[in-house]
Amino acid sequence: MKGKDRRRAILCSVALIVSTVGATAQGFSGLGAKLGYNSSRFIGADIPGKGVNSQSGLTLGGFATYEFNNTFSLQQEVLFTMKGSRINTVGDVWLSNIFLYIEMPLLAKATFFTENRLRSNVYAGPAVAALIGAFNNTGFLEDIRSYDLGFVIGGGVEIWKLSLDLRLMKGLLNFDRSADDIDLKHQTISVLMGYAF
Amino acid sequence: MNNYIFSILLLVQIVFLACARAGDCTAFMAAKGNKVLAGRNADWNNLSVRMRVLPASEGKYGRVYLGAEGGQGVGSFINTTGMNDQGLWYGSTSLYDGTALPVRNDIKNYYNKPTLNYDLVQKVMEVCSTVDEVIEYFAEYYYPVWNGHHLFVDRHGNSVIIEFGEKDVVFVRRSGDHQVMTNFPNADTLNARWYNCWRYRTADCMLFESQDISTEFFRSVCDAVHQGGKNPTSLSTVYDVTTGDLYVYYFHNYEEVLAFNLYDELAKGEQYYSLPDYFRQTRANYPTGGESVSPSAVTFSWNGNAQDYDLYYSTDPSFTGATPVRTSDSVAPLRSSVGFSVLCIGVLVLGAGCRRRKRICMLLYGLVVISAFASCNIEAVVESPFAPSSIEHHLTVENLQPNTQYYWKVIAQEPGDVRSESSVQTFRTTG
Repeated sequence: MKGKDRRRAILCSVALIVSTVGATAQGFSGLGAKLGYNSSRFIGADIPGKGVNSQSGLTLGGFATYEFNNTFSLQQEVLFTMKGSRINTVGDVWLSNIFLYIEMPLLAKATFFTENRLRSNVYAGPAVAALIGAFNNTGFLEDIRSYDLGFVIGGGVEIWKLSLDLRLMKGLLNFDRSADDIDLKHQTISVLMGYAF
Repeated sequence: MNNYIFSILLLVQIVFLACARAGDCTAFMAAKGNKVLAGRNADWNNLSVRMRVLPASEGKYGRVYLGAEGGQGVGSFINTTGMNDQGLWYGSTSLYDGTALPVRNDIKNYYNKPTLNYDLVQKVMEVCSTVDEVIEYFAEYYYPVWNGHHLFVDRHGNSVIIEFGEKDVVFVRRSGDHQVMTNFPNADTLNARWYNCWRYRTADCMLFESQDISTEFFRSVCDAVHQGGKNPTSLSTVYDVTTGDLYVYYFHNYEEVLAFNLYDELAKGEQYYSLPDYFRQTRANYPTGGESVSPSAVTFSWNGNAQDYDLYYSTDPSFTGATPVRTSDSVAPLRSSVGFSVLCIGVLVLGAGCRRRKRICMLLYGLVVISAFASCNIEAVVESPFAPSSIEHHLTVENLQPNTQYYWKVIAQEPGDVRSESSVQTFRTTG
């Protein structure tokens, strides 16, 4: 693991822990659950095979929100998420690579039109993820980094207790550790439906 | 949407089947010193494994094929490995069959090659004697069936993996002293990182690290890469390509083997063996693993469902000149004493518990006696091909040489030429 990557991961982990502890101390303003579809693919200079295509996946988890005021809030999410990519290896054969992560995005959120029933929001923030497993058609993949770090940006609408999000997660770390100097990261676009309890 | 459903299904498949898919197979070879060996595991839930022997005929070499029967007689026999009398061996494994890898739809005759109205693998086994000749055939003719790939080995130690590349057939020659093939394209070296097959890695590592090779070592490779689960390793075969010796293991039980020689089988004429019928769950128990025993008397112990066994023990691992000792001449199998125990228990229970209802007691007593004697005299019924034998055999041999390494095995003595053998075990006598 490179020193730069390690520093990024440690800083993000500390930020997540501090924010979570702080929010706990002052009380959450809301809890909820999220479920959605995502489409992910590999990005980077070392795209394998003859090309890559998006891999569909599932995202499922929960969130807790801490409101500073009517507009600004922090949202901590814990999500089970599938990432990956399809790789065109030989002929018209596409290898489906699926990576399973527990991902924890910490999002700074701005909500607009708070007086209306239909509210909109934008958010951004870091996300750390722990790898559960990675596999494709031929078996389990080895030499995959056991954690990942990414940056999330997105927006959505809320009505009553329901929400609909569209977000982009860009990986910041190379996940492939099978050789030195490989540039291969995750990129995921997700559509999530949420329900605040 | 289909993509989404597929990814969910793939996840479920991986989690629940843990890589055990229909048609997974492993084929491997090594050429070290003057030995050329080949092996193959068939991982398939079809347990109707068969061997077909076809003597030489006009324009065709004699050959043996092994595979499985589809359930409709000899005509449905699917051969997946075999060897001819010229020392040409082949083994096939699945590739783009929709299980290990998706089906390829882009394969076609891009270069307008001539086609044979005949299976090309069968053709080369009939008329070729070397890997170079096989390559010439596959290069010349278009072969439309590429849901698998093939490893060919000849008696000179040459080997090649033949599969369909981007636009044409490709030949992957051996670079080291061994070659392994599972269920991903060996020619696609650019994406080797994404083909992470544990069976390939295990076999490749074992063959790379071995200084010397033997059929026993190849047996251990088959054992190391075998699968269980819903699509288990149903048939394992090890071939000595130079001598024509062939060893067959059933349902990943590597303690019992059927040993054949290609040339002996060809001399008998055309044969079609239902291989499961010949296994007797033979398993050597003691002494094993090179343990030390007293030379004054060694009591050999093994299990097996055959009535009689020949015990071979020798200081030579090939048992050259060893004189067998037959068990039926010495010790009755434990099964008889089990039957006698059942009889005794029946007498005691009925005698103690039933004084008033004498007629019923006598009837039950008679049934117990008949059952007990029947259990002594009929062949043990194996309910499942996978159940270990409960029949234990013993034989004591005296006055062995002190401080000597010995090898031993037992061979079932039954009518016919195909006989179940235990794997070869070792022990050492003390000084």
